[in-house]
Amino acid sequence: MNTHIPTEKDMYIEELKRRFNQSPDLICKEIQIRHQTIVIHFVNYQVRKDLVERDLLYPLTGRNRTWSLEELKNKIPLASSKGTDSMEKITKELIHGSVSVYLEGEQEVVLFALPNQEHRALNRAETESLVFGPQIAFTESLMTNLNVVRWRLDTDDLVVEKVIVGERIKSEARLIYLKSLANDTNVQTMRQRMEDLEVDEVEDTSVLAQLIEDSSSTVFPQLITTELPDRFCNSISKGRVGVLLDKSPTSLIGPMSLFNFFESTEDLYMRWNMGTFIRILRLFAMVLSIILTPLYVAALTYHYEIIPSSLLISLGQSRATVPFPPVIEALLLEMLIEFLREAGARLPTKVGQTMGIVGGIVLGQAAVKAGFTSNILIIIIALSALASFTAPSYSMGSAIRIIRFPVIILAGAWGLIGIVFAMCFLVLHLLKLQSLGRPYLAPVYPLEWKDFNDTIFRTTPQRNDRRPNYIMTKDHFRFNEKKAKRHKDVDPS
Amino acid sequence: MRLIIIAITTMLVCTSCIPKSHIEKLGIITSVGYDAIEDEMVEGTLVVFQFDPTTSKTSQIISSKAETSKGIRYEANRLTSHRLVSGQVRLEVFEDELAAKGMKKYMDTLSRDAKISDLGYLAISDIPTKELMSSDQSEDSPNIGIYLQSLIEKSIKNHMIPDSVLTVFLRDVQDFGIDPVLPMLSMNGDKPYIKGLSLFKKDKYVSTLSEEDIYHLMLLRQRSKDTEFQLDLDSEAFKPYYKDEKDDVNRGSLHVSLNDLSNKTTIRSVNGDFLQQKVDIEIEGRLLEITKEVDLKQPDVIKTIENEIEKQLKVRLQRLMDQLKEDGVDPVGFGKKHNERNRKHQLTEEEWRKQIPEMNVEFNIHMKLLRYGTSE
Repeated sequence: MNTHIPTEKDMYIEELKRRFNQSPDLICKEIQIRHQTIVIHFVNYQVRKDLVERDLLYPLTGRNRTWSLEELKNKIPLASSKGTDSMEKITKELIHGSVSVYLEGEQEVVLFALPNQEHRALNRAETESLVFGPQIAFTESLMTNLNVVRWRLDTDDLVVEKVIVGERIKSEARLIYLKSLANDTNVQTMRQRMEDLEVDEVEDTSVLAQLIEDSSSTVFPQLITTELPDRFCNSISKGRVGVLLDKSPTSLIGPMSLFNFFESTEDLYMRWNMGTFIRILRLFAMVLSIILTPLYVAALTYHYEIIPSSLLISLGQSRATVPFPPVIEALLLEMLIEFLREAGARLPTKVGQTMGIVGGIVLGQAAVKAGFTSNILIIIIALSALASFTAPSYSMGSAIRIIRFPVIILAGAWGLIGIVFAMCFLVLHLLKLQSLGRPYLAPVYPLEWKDFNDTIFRTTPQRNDRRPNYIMTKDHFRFNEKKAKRHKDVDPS
Repeated sequence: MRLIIIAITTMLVCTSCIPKSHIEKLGIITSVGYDAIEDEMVEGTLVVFQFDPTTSKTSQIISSKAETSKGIRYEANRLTSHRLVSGQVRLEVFEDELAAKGMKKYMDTLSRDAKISDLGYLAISDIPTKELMSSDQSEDSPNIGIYLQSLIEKSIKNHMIPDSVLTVFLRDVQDFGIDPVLPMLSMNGDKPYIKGLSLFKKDKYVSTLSEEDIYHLMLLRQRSKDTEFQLDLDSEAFKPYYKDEKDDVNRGSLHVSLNDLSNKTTIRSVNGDFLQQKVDIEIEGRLLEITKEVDLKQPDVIKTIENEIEKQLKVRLQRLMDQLKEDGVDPVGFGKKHNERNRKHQLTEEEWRKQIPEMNVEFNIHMKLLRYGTSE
């Protein structure tokens, strides 16, 4: 459908007004130069008015001659100018911040792009804060984000592909990868899944992630969403495929394995032994977070034999006055922690802190005093809640918190057998998951010892010479390990 | 999906009748004592945890009479509002009179009941266990049962007594060629302590070994490390080495305290004859204390001490052997060692038992003092 541009000036103006639903923001300006009438259109706040005046109106009116189409395209000192003969194109470009120049009687309109987009400046990372390392976070503007990515990945190897997602409200996305590294199948999978999307709107990268993930029903995220440019670029240079979406302050990376969700770029910035310690700590925290409360429930409901006898008395005494069975008690307290977390997240920062103190200390203390719960359970619940917050990826932390509830219920119903059943189910489920068609539990399954480096632990940067195998990059080696050896002394010159 | 639902419902239907045991509703037995009373009856004394936050007393003692050990628990259940369970039983004490009748019938239930830990300790008491369990001298332990258990556990860890867990005892009872031993508990005033070692002939209690002889038996029975022992030596041999002969300290007998750093014992039958046993013992030790002013710097003095120790140890080991032979028991495991080494001259259980009193054991001790501290 291509509506031709009316040669009649008034008809043209009417047509545009109709297309803009009589919007008051569509500014129309007529200029008379000798016999020629020039009509300029733009949307009020979508263009940079100062530039329109300086670079378009001034040259247009500055000479005492009529303009031709060719002159308009070539003599105006603006970088982006193009002619079009379709009304639809004009409408679209005007919304995107172009200025249209119409010469009466011509079949074509010249468009100058002078977009003015309101967005916030680059800011410190808020949700994924780091102690060391680069502090900036992505913003909502795709152009700014691309600028940052280009700056960080300073190589001509970088491929930035444009993909449009959304049917009714279209959003621009960019597929980013390194040509010499990224596996073609991975790139193709990501591209195709985005292109095949038939939804009217993609609100955010996290929505895009849910739309294109391998399994939508699981609680585990399969693609990482991050707001940190350094994490994004680090993953790209490992051979992964990244996506930036306009209007979203987070980026998307894949393929990912479960263990990547417990990594933070900070591990790289820290010394290797510290980094390894923290990484293993996080994995341990995940297991602890899932299993600690169910173990309490199982031990106190069925398996009194496994409780160390020195702990038995304090456990028994604190349980003696509690009116509920351990499952109900544990679920109640878990709910309490979830309430606290949710309330803390929703409330303004200043009130949120007070909430934490009131909820955590006062409520916990009072609950024990009133014989509502046992104090050992309070410790266990607090510990497992704390442990679940150590995951650097917020979505993974939430996944862990959700998993805990069914495990507690199973432990309450069948004791240790229930826990074992839940763990088996969990492992089977994780084995079945894929991320962009790559195994989710790599490198543990399929087992690849060499990939343990930089997945579960870290070695010195000199020895970290491989890219993970399960991503199937075109070049497995980052550098030659032997040549990367540090010289102990200064070479004699 | 349908499969999952079927699987879950099947699990629910098949398994949701696991009996719940909330710990606050249980009477958790930590140790049991058995006493012999008239007419084949046994009196059991149970030390049970009670979870009452209002009192500082965390356990109670329940006694009941029945024919079997399970019967005791059943009877005791009538005396408390909690359900008595035996999953935390870590110590079982038997009165010596009861043990003399044979422990086999109690071992059967202990070894077959999956709820009872195989690593629980066994002990014998020469006073009624009811009295023993009623002692309130339990130091920092929550109750007397746990006190006794940690007393025995500590002694085993420090190699002061041989291992007395259920599995070791059962193994020694069932194997022939070795007789089991268990710690013997008693009361000192109102505080329980380990009095000695009780010797068994198969599963029947026979006699008690004094605390002094435990070390000597340990030397023969198992390899031990870092134990301490005292000896009194012949003071005549040290006359030349006294710093000041007229010193008052030098009167009376001479005592030494030694630390056994490591020892190695080899037992073998001479020419495959069970009656002729040869025992080589190598001890490396440290002289901790000597009660007389002996000048340790003089040449040969250490050699003399070593010789005297060897002599004294030999006397003591012979004395131990005499007692064992007299009781007709073999806790050292001469029979087992003989059968392990001599394929040709295998002993049967009857032969071994019959030949114990006629055994002739020759000890060959090599003592080496590695360190004796600094002396000025």
